[in-house]
Amino acid sequence: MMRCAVYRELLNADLDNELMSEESAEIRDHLTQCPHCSRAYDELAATSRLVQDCLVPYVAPDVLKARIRSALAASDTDAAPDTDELRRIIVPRQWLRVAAAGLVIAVASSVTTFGAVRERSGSRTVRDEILTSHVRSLMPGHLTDVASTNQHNVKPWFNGRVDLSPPVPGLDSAGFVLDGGRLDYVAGRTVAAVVYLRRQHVVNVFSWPEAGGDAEVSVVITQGFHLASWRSDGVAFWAVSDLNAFELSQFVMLFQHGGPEAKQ
Amino acid sequence: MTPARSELSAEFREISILREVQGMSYAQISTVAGVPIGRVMSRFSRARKRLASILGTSQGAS
Repeated sequence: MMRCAVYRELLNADLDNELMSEESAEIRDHLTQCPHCSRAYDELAATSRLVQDCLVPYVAPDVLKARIRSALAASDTDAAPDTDELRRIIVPRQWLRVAAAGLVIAVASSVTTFGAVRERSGSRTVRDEILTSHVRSLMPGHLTDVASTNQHNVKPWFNGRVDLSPPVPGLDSAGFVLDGGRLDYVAGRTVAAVVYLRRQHVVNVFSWPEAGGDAEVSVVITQGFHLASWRSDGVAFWAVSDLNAFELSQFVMLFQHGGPEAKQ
Repeated sequence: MTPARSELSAEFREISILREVQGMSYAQISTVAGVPIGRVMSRFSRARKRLASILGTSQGAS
């Protein structure tokens, strides 16, 4: 079908949130009617998830940054930069093998999550706000309103401040240490933010009441941060961190189950 | 996985890593990779198809 060919060209862009909302709505509409395009979309989403799950974003060490900067500075005066050399530094040759190694685990998690990713790609603004709040919280003095490693101090603090009592499971024994809680402002409402630390990495868990059925966890990566979102018992949750996807997924699983030694 | 299939071309690798790992938008990739945004889109579309066939996430739908 002629229209399908046109839509196929735009599926990637839609998956990456690069389309205008009207275009995106038109594609979404088509996907509900066309099983072939829908399957093509699912495959693209699965591929994207698989690559994201398997590849860990590395931050270049300062020494390497300095070397690249000086190479670039030198290239301003010399000829064109040696792009092959830069590629060798930036792109590990074996990256695809790493992806293949993670295939077995990732396939299982991708299959369960990409449906949710598609459904909620419309919530991009919320995602952007969550990311902004997370980054702001990392600035000095912004992380917590109530600083405590004791869940029995943090949980009651939210009483009367937000319209839910956010879960604050104790996850110390799993290596996620409670750091405190604070109020934040996301999606036009005051929300609860519970803060955990893993080594020097901060995990913010935002939550607020939201209508709708339970939704599986889906993880997206934006600007080097992983954002996991899910909905459970009428509460929307977003967990954000620069931890890798594996550690964040581990955190989310523990958080959902109330901690390693929870007896629910 | 044959050696021929286990490799992506450099241009596909670059664009895939910038998008999937660094989470850059097409406009940012266009700046970083120095190619027009239209070409980022078409190149990335081909890169994902290639990855799908390498990683086995494609079920052969055309």
